[in-house]
Amino acid sequence: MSDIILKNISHSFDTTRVLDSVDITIKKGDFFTLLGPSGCGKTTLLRILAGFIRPTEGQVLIGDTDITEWAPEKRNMGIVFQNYALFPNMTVRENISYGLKIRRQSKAQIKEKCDYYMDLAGLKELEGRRINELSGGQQQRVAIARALVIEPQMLLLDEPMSNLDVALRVKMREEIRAIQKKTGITTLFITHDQQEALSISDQIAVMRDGKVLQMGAPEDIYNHPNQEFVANFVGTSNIIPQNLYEDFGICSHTDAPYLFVRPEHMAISHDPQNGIPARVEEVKFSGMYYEYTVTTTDNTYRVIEINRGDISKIWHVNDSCFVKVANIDGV
Amino acid sequence: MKKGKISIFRYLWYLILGFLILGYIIVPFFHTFMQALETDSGYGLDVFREFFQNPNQRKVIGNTVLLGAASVLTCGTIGIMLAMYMTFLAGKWKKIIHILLLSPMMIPGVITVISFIQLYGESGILTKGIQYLLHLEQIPFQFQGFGAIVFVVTYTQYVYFYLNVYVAMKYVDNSSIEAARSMGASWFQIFKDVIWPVIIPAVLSSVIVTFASGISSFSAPNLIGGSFKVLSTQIVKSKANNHMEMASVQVVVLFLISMIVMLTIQYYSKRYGNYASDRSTAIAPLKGTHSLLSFISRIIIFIQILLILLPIITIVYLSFVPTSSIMQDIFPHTFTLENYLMIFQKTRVLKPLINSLKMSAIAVIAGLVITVPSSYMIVKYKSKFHAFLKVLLMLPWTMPASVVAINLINAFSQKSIFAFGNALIGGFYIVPIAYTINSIPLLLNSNEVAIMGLNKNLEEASKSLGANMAHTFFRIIMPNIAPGIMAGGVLVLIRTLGEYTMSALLYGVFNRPISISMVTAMQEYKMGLSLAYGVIVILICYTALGIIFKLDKKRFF
Repeated sequence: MSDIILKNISHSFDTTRVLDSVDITIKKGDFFTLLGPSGCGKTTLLRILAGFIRPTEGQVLIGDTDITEWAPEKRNMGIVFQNYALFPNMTVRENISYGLKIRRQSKAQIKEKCDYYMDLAGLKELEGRRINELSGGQQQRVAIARALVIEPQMLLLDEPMSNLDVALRVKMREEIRAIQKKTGITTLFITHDQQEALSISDQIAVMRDGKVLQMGAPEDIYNHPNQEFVANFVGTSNIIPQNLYEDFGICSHTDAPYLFVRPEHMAISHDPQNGIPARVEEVKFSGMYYEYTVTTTDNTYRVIEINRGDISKIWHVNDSCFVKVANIDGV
Repeated sequence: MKKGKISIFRYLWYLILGFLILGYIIVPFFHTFMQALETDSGYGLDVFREFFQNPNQRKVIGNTVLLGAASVLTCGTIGIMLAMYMTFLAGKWKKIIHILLLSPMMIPGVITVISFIQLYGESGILTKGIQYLLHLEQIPFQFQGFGAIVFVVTYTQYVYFYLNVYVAMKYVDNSSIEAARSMGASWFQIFKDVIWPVIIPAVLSSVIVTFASGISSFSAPNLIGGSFKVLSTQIVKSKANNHMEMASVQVVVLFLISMIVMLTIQYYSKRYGNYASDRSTAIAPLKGTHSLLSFISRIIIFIQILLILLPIITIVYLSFVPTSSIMQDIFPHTFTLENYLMIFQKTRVLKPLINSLKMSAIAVIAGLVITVPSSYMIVKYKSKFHAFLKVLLMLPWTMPASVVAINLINAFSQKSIFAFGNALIGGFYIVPIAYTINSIPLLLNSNEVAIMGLNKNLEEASKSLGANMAHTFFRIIMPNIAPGIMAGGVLVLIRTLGEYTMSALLYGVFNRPISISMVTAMQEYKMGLSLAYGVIVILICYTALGIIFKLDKKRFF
């Protein structure tokens, strides 16, 4: 196995350009996430990698080998579809062993590998069940086991959590990550859920309108978004224009026309030092933290403060205060 | 490399399809057209002139259109009412009533007509019974002519309206109905504003099918039409008189009527969008309503079920009665197995049943072999070429059965390159060929429904796991679309098993089908034999019906 390289990929359906010069390198063994709103081209990119679509321009490489023209069945990529695409005419075991039978492996080999991956995915008791007798989470595990059992070059996950309820999503993403770490397989994961992307990935590429806007580790993307769309799609941000840098006590060591500051990096207090006078507009209590919306003369800011159980430090609507950047180094 | 190989198979397939469509659909129709233009001195419109100048023939055209329109009206009224009843009012007997209401579809028209004759005809049980009870000197009614035909057609063809509208009703959102009610709408307003817009595509497609079967119906006008003549009976008559030019003219006229009506309705149905809501809540049957409407529909449903059951009971009952008793007694009460023994003891008498089973089986298999790969490609590759291919394959839909038959006669009574230098008329295969042509549109539709219901990702999943096209098709696609496709096949088996129109025009000594034997047996006063044939066919059809319901629950319930 080697790195997977998407080189200068562009694609158009009829006249609509859905991918525009995308360059991505997925390192061997990485968990790589494509994050973006629906219609940004992330599924098209996955389908190009899988071989279902031939890109209008560009190359798909595994190491030095150009696989752009290869048929999907020659690529040896495991895919988990959004709707799982399990074969309803087969049992759990038959679904999982399908790819191995095609590879004409011996019965003993098939059994051994099936057993291993069914065990890994916690499917042991379900092997004889039909697909329509499984819950959503179980179906997803079958889909993952079926994709992994062929020992693919790469695992492709196309929004596999979107059909699960919230609690199960969190559990399944941890399971997926655990399985990925255990097998060490290079994985491409597609999602529009930023929380999911941040918690599971080694690398994230944020996409919009067929372009990759920013690529990097989850911490980079979150802490140093390179543009407004990324800042707001991955979490929320306050925008501080250049003319207010001084008021907020930000040293002008940057030429950027504005800065993005996360709500948790801001604070409100009675202390006028490095702060701007403001009024509390709205208070939202979320259990773990308070979320305040405060207005200054010409702007609105969102501030998050951890709930430390200290009643005296809670702000109320219409309180006057000073809003400031809590951690100037964090900008 | 791989890609090249697949393409070769595909192009070979297109070539075969093109050959079949050209040879068995387009060229035969062209032959008919030329035949219609043939005169003693070359080509001209002489026969057309002769046809249109004859007031009797003009009346026949009028009758044909009238029969089509009347069928639509009666079938529409009854079918839609039944669908409403089943959606809003039917209670615990719903499933059984539903199956009963669908069952006329499963009985070949010619058997229905024969059993109706035994019930309501001149010496029918009901006719004689009423005469006896009321001490009338003459029979109370004449089961003949326009009224009788419409009665039979209504009884047999309302199923399209009923089933289509019943299925469409599932897409009517109950919340919209409740919303309309809460705003004070009457039931009539709800029907007009909430239900009608959703079911109108289903209604229009039922209008097409019903009109087409009305204008092409043959067994009813032939057996009980009396002096009421329509094009399909005239076509057979012209052919019997060996006046093929006239038959061809009549075929062209019948085809044009069918074509014009279909295109008009299709044009109008395009103007209606699809208002069906995706996430509709199911309509729950209303409980305890005793409105006039529900009372009327209860009566209609009762009569309808009676009408369905009576002929079946009659035919089964009379099939166990010796022919002499059927002829003489009003209520025969001597029973015998003689009628059935006759069929199974004499090979000559059994032969038509075997012939029909064989020919229907050939039609089903040939039809599936032709349509399954075609439907798959039509659904998968949505190109202009494939849309055109579909139009070509759907052509027989616009051709009433008698048109298909006359076309084949015109094309294959002499040696033809499309039959590899053989003349097919008079041989065994011409009848199954006609059945196949007639069944292709039905099969295309049922295949398409089955294929579109297939999860598209299944094919990709299989490929990504390393399977090639052939393996994917046979191991994944086929098993998952098989139930829907088989259901279509069974429906074709049922429709062709008792097929009468094409059979009457095309059969020969080697392939005399059961429908023909039933009619001749009746005309030779061997009632018992005719009815026993009928019972056997009904039995086969009902077994098949059971199989369809098992295979394709989704479409019918």
